[in-house]
Amino acid sequence: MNRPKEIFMMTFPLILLLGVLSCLYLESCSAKKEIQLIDSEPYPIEIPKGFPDIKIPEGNELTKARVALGKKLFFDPILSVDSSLSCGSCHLQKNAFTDLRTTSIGVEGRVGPRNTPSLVNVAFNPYFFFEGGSPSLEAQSLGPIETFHEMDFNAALLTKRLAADEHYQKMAQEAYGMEMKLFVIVSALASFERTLISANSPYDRAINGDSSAMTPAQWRGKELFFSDHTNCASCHPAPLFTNFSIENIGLEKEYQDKGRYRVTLKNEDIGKFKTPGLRNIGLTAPYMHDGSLESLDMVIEHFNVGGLGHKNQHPLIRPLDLSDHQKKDLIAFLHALTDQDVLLKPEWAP
Amino acid sequence: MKTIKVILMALIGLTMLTLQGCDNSGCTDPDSLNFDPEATEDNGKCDFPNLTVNFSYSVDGQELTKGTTYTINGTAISFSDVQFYVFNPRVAKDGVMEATGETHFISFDNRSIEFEDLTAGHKHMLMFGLGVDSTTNATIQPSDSDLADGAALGPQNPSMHWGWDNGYIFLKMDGMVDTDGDNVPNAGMEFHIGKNINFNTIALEIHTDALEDEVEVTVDVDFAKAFTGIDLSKDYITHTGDFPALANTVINNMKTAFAKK
Ligand code: HEC
Ligand code: HEC
Repeated sequence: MNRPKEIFMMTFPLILLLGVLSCLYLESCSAKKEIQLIDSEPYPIEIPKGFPDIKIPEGNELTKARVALGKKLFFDPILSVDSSLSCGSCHLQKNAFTDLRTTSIGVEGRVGPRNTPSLVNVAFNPYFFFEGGSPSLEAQSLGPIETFHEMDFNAALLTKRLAADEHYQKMAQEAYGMEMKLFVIVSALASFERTLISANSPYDRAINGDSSAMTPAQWRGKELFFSDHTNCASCHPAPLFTNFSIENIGLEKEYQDKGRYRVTLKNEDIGKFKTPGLRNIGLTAPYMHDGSLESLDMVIEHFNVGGLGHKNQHPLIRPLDLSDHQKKDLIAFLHALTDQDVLLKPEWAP
Repeated sequence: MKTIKVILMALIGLTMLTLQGCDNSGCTDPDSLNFDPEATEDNGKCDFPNLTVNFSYSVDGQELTKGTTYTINGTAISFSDVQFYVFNPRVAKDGVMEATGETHFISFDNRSIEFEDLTAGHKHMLMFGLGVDSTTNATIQPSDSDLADGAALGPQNPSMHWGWDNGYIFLKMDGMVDTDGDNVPNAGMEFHIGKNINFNTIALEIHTDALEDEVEVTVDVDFAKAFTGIDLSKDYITHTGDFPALANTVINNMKTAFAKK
């Protein structure tokens, strides 16, 4: 009659004991998980005078551990399918993080369609690639890793490959407090790239008071560059020498590479490419998205002629009637944007 | 530790049972499988059906397997990867929609989606987005830290994200086609279709009674239909942006490719 009650009385202490035991067990487990070795010492960066702030996504604040991991990844060929090519194979410090090739060369000698851009001051870019389709430095690195004519690897497989490496696992824990995963890879790469900030060119020294830092030709070129005659600065304004607008400058009559169109599929975007910054431009020949202009002389000639007259061409690209002297001055000014520091900083070296 | 847990559960179950008297409690939800019309008090033990939708791949009635050569529109073709996203699948019962609320990744290795705890009854339609919606495309990256390991929108192999552009590939069909007329596929075929303008809703009648705990329905996907009106010996590569018209034709053709088996 009283059986249910009896059973209850008998089992109650047991349940209590088991309950306490399992609680203890669960506790010890979760406590173990929380012991993480995050090294959160911030990485100091200095934003040059007059430069905008940089956008850093929440959860990827710059720390020394993250930059160190990103740098190791950047220079490690393990990121490519056959472990032959690192980010640093195409973005070389000695060339201001470009490769001096017309268009890039990836795994197995595959020739890509585009010229390798510099990564100096890339932290300030609001979007990435020549058509501006990638929204963050974090998102951007999937591009080279998975593109057939670059590293031709796969993010899922790369994550597995790196997770199998004890040293990388340790660095991932230190930097992000988690196991090696895609988030860690792209976040660390972005962290390293965000440290590539420099502004110590003759131009910077000249506008900050040392007028002898630029030659008279460079000063004349500066006048022209910022004038309504050339309108260079309406697309390439200081301090980054780009406003990042995506424009057609009449480089071709018939664009093979349709640029921004690839993102929007709108005809008015055919032949539009992101305006590149001109800092260190003297170090990064050849020029344009396809590397089709070999020298700064050819670039100036292109703008002087006023482009080839594509229907989407920006109205400011029109004949400029520059004299030979004026062309020389403009080129001299472009060389004043070269910052020798970028070639030498040991913290950027492999 | 596992055995202790099992014992613990059993004991808890036992005590619960013994504590319960014989009142008028039962499942009071008319949409459940075990609705008790007599019950006046809900006992919290209603059962609802789970529905598994299996996608079977075919070419014109033949099963589609990796590497096999088929003929579509007179051109020999073989497939190495066929994968797509199923966005927020819904089933309709009397005009009411029930959704998984998730994005599912379908590939050769993983071809089913599951609706858990549906209302019991006749499911008339199955609907889903083929791809991912514009919000997902704009805001989610495969590298996001809050995606679980193996999440549909996480990194896939082969990749289902453009990389250079923001957004996911909705449908990827890779393989080979015959371009020289000897019926042996010789040229790399790549259909990589995405972009918001190509996001379509697929709707098909499934007429399935979900009146048991586990119900399954098989939906055949006839990939031959994807190529209606296309000469595959000539047009066999699109990454959407480089040949938008071809991508658009294929993704629109896919509306007719799904049918209940
Ligand atoms: C095969 C050579 C090559 C490799 C390897 C390579 N890149 Fe690049 N990188 C390029 C080219 C070419 C572009 C321009 C591509 C485009 O715009 O379509 C580029 C563009 C970029 C950009 C965009 C810059 C901007 O202003 O929009 C970033 C950032 C970048 N690469 C970082 C990396 C990282 C990080 C890696 C390694 C994961 C890497 N690259 C590997 C050649 C390469
Ligand atoms: C309408 C906006 C616009 C104006 C005005 C303009 N540019 Fe540009 N510039 C661009 C764009 C966009 C590109 C990249 C085009 C491409 O890659 O196809 C570019 C490319 C360049 C490059 C090559 C950069 C590289 O890294 O390859 C140089 C150098 C340059 N411009 C200098 C100038 C000078 C000097 C002037 C004035 C005479 C000028 N630009 C006027 C938009 C403009």
